[in-house]
Order: sequence, then C-alpha cells, then structure tokens
Amino acid sequence: MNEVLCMKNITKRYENGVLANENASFSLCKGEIHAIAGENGAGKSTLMKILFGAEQPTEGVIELSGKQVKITSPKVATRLGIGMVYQHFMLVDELPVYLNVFLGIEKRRGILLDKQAMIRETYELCRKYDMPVDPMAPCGELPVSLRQKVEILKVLARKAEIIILDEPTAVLTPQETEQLFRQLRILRNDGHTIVIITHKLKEMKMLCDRITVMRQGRTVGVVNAADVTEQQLSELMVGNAVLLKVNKSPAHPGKIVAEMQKAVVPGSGRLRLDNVSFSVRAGEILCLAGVEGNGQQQAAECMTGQIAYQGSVKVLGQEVSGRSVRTIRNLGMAHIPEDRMTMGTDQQASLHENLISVDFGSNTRLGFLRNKKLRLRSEQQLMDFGVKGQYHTPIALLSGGNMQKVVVARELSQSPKLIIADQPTRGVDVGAIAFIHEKLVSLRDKGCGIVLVSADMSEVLSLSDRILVFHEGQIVAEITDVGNTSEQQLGRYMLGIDRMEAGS
Amino acid sequence: MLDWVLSESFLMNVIAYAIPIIFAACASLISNKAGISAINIEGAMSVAAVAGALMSHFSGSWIVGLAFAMTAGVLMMMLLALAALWLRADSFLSGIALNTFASGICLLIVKGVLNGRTDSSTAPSVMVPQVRFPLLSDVPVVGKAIFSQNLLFYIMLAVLAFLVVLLNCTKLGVQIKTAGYHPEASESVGVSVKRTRVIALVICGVMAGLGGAYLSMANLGYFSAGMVSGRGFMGIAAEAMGAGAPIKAGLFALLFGAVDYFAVGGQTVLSFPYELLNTLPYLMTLITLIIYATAQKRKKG
Ligand SMILES: Nc1ncnc2c1ncn2[C@@H]1O[C@H](COP(=O)(O)OP(=O)(O)O)[C@@H](O)[C@H]1O
Ligand SMILES: [Mg+2]
Repeated sequence: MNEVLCMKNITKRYENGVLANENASFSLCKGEIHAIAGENGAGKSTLMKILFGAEQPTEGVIELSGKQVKITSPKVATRLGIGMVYQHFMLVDELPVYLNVFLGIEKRRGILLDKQAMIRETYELCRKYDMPVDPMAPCGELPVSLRQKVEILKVLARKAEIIILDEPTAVLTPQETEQLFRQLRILRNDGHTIVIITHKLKEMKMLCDRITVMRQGRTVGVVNAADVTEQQLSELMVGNAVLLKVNKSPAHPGKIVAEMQKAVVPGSGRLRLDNVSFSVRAGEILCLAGVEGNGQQQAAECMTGQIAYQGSVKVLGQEVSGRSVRTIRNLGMAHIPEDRMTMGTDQQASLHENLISVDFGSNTRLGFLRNKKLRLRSEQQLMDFGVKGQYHTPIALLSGGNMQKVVVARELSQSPKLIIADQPTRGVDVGAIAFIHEKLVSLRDKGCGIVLVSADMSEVLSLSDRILVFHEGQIVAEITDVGNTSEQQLGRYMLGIDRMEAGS
Repeated sequence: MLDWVLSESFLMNVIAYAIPIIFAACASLISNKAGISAINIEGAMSVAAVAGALMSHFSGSWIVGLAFAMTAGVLMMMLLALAALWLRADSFLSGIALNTFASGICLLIVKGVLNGRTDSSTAPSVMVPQVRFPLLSDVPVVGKAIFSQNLLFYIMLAVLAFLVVLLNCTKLGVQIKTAGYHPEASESVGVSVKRTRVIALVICGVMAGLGGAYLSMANLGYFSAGMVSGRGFMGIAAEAMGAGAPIKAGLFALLFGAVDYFAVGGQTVLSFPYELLNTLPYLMTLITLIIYATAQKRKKG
C-alpha cells in the first residue's frame, strides 16, 4: 500500500459563509478505487473540487507523492495528472466527440487542427478502454451514458493518473452502471487511481477497495469496502440508522384518476410511444419502469401536457391535449420533473420564490401578493420538508438533495389528486430518499394517485404497488405482485428479454 | 419589369447592395458564435464609414482609409467588450446605447472637421479600386457582376472563406464555439472565455469596419449621416436566418441586398407607391424571421 496523495486538515469556507469542509482529511493509494460517501451537502464535491484546483482551500495542505503541492487551478491539476468528471457535464453539444475529448489541448498541424490525429487517438482510447463511442458523432446526440464516457475520455486524453468522478452513476441505469464499473476496473488494472463519489451503498461494496465517509464537512471514517455492511455504512453516513425499506401497507385503489388510451408519440425512426393504454387509480403508486429511452418518460410527459400525442390521455377526467399546463395543474395534478436544475426550479431565484412560483393560493389582495403570509407559508414548508436553507437563500447554493426537497415541498403541498413523479430521487442522498418515499406513501394513503417513473430497481420494487414495464415504446409487462418479484426478473423485462403476454 | 430583373446591371446592383450586409452578417456571426450579441455592428459600420472617408481623403490613400475604418470598427467593439465583459452590463442594452453613441459621434466628427456639414461630399474619399478580370468579365449576365467588381467584393469572399476555415479548422474556432455554446466547459479546461470573446469581437469589429468602408469608399464617394440605414441590422437578421452557417448567412444577406435594391431601383421602373416599396426590406426581415422561427420550432418539437 503506497500512498500517492494526501489531503490534510482541509477547511473550506465559501464566500457566502457556508462551511463546506471542516478539517477534512483524505488519502489515496496507488491503483485503488476509492469511494467518497456521504449525504448531499456533506462536502464531497467541494473536497474533490479542491483537489482538482477548481476551488481553493481556506486551510490545509495537499501532498502528492510525499511532496507538498499548491493546486491553484484545474490546469495545474491536469499537469499533475489529476482529472475530474463533474456531476454536470462540461461538454459542448455542438462539437463532435473528438473535439470535446481534446478540448483545450487540440492537436495542430501548422495553424490548422490536426483532425485525423485527434480522431485516431480518440478511437484508440475507446478501443483500449472498451467504450462504444463514435469519435465523429456530435456530442449532443449521444445519450447520457455515452456523454459520460466522453468526459472520461477527456480526462484520459490528458493522461490523468488520478481520475475523480462526481456521482457518475446518478444518471445511469443499472445496466449502464455495470458497464461503467467494468471500464473503471480496466482503468484501475491499467494503473490509474480512481475516486468515485456516490450515495449508493451497493455500488461502493461492489466496486470499491476503500471508502471515505463524510458527514457535515468532516471525514468521519475510512473503511475497507470488504469489511463493512451496507447498514454500517449508512449509519456512518447519516449518523443514525436509516430504513432502507419503505414502510407501507397494501394499497386500496379507488377510482381512476388518469387514463391513457392507445397513445402514440412519434419519434425519429421508431415510435417513442407505441399504442400504449393504461390507467392509474386513486390510492395506488403505479410505476412506469424501463431503461431510459423506452417510452416511460414520454408517457409521463403526455400526462403533464409537455408533449403532443395521438390517441387519448385523460387526467382527472379531462383530455390533456389542447389544455394548458396551468389548467391541468388546477385540476389537482402535481409534477416532480426529472431535471430539477432546468425544469423543477428557477436557479436564479430564492427558495421562497421557487416555493410560491406555482400558487399564491388566496394570498393576494387586490392583485398584490401578501408577502408576510406567503413567507410564513414558505418557512413552514421548508421546516416540514427538512430543507437545509432559509427562505431567502438562493436555490443555486443548495445541494442536489435539498434542491429536490424544495421541489417536492412545493408540489406536494398543493394537496394533489394525482402526482407525476419523474425520477424523484435521482442523485439524492439516502436520508432525503427515505423522506421523499415516506411523503409519497402518506399521500397515497390519503387517496392520491401516484405515477412514478424510475430506473432505480430497488426504488421501483420497494415503493410501487403496481409496475408497468416499458420496452421500445410498448408496455411489455404488468406486475401486480410486486413483493414477490426479483430484481433479476424485472431486469429481464426492462431489457426486453422476457415479455408478458397481453391479458395475463 | 422582367427585362429589368434579368439585365446585367440588376445583378451588379444587387451585389453592390448586398456587400455591406454580408460584411455585417459575418461580423454578427463571429460574435454570436462566441456567445455575445453585437447589435452595435450598425453603429460600428457608421463610425468606420466616417473614419474611412475622412482618413482616405486627408491621407490621399485608400489603404490608410481602409486601415482606419477597420480600426474604428474594432474600437467600437472594444467599447462593447468593456461594457459587456468587464462591467458586466447586458450586451443587448449596451449595443443599443453604443448605436446611439455612434450616430452622435459620427455627426460630431463630420461637423467638426468639415465646418458643420452633415456629409463629407466636399471632401471626397479616395475610392477603393475596382478589379477587372479580363476575359472572364466578358461572360454574359454574370461576368461583370462577379469578375469586374470592387476590391472589397473579393475581400468579402475571402472573409467568408476565412470564417469557414476559422470556425471549422482552427483551435481558435473551437475556442470561440465553446465560449458560445458552453462557457463553463471552456473555463473548465483552462481557456478564458473573456479572452476568447475579446478576440471574436476584434474580428467582428474588423468585418463591421470593412462593411462601413464599403459604404463610404466604394459605394458612395463620401460619408453622409445615416448612410448605414439598417444594413447592420439586416446583416444581423440574415445571420440569424442562416442559423450560424457562414455561407447560408451570406446567401440570406444577398437576398436582403436584392430586396433592398428592389425597393430603391424599383421606384423608377415600377408604378408602385415608393413608400410601400421602402417597407420591403423590413417586411422581408419579418417574414423570413417568422419562417425561420417556425422551422426551428418544428425541428425541435
Ligand atoms: N459555490 C458555492 N458557494 C457557496 N456554497 C456552496 C457552493 N458549492 C457548494 N456549497 C455549499 O457547500 C456545502 C457542501 O456542498 P457539496 O460539496 O456540493 O456537497 P456534496 O457534494 O457532498 O453534496 C453545501 O451546503 C452547499 O450548499
Ligand atoms: Mg456533490
């Protein structure tokens, strides 16, 4: 075990006063895969940004191979052989893959770009690390999982020894996660050292050699992955035991709250939604499961009025087509969108402004807002939903989990009759996941119909009362006996290996 | 009327009207690619026109005039850079302010230098020379329009080619596009977005300067207040319709030139109220932008 890198007593206070890291320490051994675990807001990203030179520590030192270094910018980090894949990709959609890979280090012949050399090298990197990416493809046309590969290639093209990945699996399906892990192992065997930030306990156990756990800005422990149980890990992360199982009683479905009949959504090439019919009842959690891009998202978007369709989609008794989102929402629909950064929140606004954005309720007088009353309401919501932040905090400063809680607080406070929850817990920490699940179940018990779109197997299986599996735009299975279904079986449906006969 | 449209002089004139619009479109294209809208191209052209006209007159050299026109264009763009990049003002609003500033400063200069006149016809510019390719220029209909033109026409062709190569085949091109499409990505690989945008604005200023110089040193032999009269804006619109592709933008600009000329030249040939004819370029902008927007929307949806 030879240490290549060591961060000692790192403290980081942001300009706005947030203490993101406090006396945190971290060490890396050559050729290991090292996880950094911790709730959202624990300071994981900050610590890694400091290592990558994107943020400067307020206090503390970094040693590389025993020598103290000052990493003043990402450029310096790159020169020292450190590379990072951010949580939010830094890709230029309009440029082809190879130019993204060589962004900032473009190869030239004379004053012109040496495109051939860059294409060739990208191609070779792809082959070496078993990544199925077309160097010539425009980045914007690639699915998320491949865009992530481009980010990794970018780091590799810079000859990084130490590769940091910030929550790489948050945007991946289970199959894609496995593929990524396979590639990371190839990288490790090739001599690279890998740091991966993740919330998912299973993944850490599956992939990593060691795990550093962070809580409230401090590093609270370093453990060998082989020596701890998932339960012990989650206790370390949140400080007390978290229920990984969702507590819920059997559902009592009532009358139909939303219904889709022979819905068709065209796409380039094949239909995104191919003659899909189903209904959701009050008091049940219906999960639309599937590998990303198989139509489940489109089905949800039809119901929220975001995309056009043929056929019939009725929400709370009204045909969606031709009605505004506002009208549908007024009927009693709430929507937790997949992308909290662009769809779910206004990143320029404060928590309060985000919370009141959909509904002032009766809190207006003569067309003016009654600010005091609204503020009290917002503060109550923030407290009820355990958001770490004050009503005037700009939402952009919150961690992903807290941001999602703001969206959930806003949407669920409307006493909805129907909730469309699109990946409500993607990239959210264990504590917040349990909280969001609990809220959804309690609303279900109050007679709310819930449509859940999710690619996370354990969420699908633990939260749903009924599952519809989508594959290539069609429903290939309806699972009513969720309790007795295994991840393997669900996976086979999702991948289109198995298919339930209609009517069975 | 058909005779008129098919005549040799029609194409000649269309191109003459289109040249400044194409320069403006090129200027707009490069700044937009870098992620900063430069609507003060209109004003920059005007200042360049003054600078070119007066400096060529007083130095007796069109080369000096051209150099000053380009410098004036660049200076105007640097004012935009100062406002939008350093002082972080809104680039659109700064652009509007700079256009107003430009029309003021142009008048001030002409009046100051030429004792209160609003044009420089008493101090004629030294014109940028015509170029004539023997033989080729004798080809019927297109020969004269393409092979017997002002030098600035060929410079314009070179500028278009330069843009295509710059954007697609050079490191600076990649940096400019990155600064426009995803500035954070640029910073994340250690390339300063500000630096890239300043460079793009310098190029933008040079092109706007050439457009202005064409007006006062090739099209007309002197500067007159208001002579740009919307050609900068038409270039910006043409660029928007070309959706960032240099050649497409150039072709749309040519179309604008045609309509612009139609509005002026048609007045003598057609029995049509000239007030209505004069609205043509603007009507055209409106209609094409609507078509363009619907096409974009359909592509997305
Ligand atoms: N640029 C920033 N300015 C101010 N505060 C920040 C900034 N980035 C993160 N924070 C705050 O620092 C804390 C730690 O954030 P982060 O490192 O992103 O946590 P994690 O990655 O573990 O979720 C959070 O409370 C977050 O709100
Ligand atoms: Mg983070």
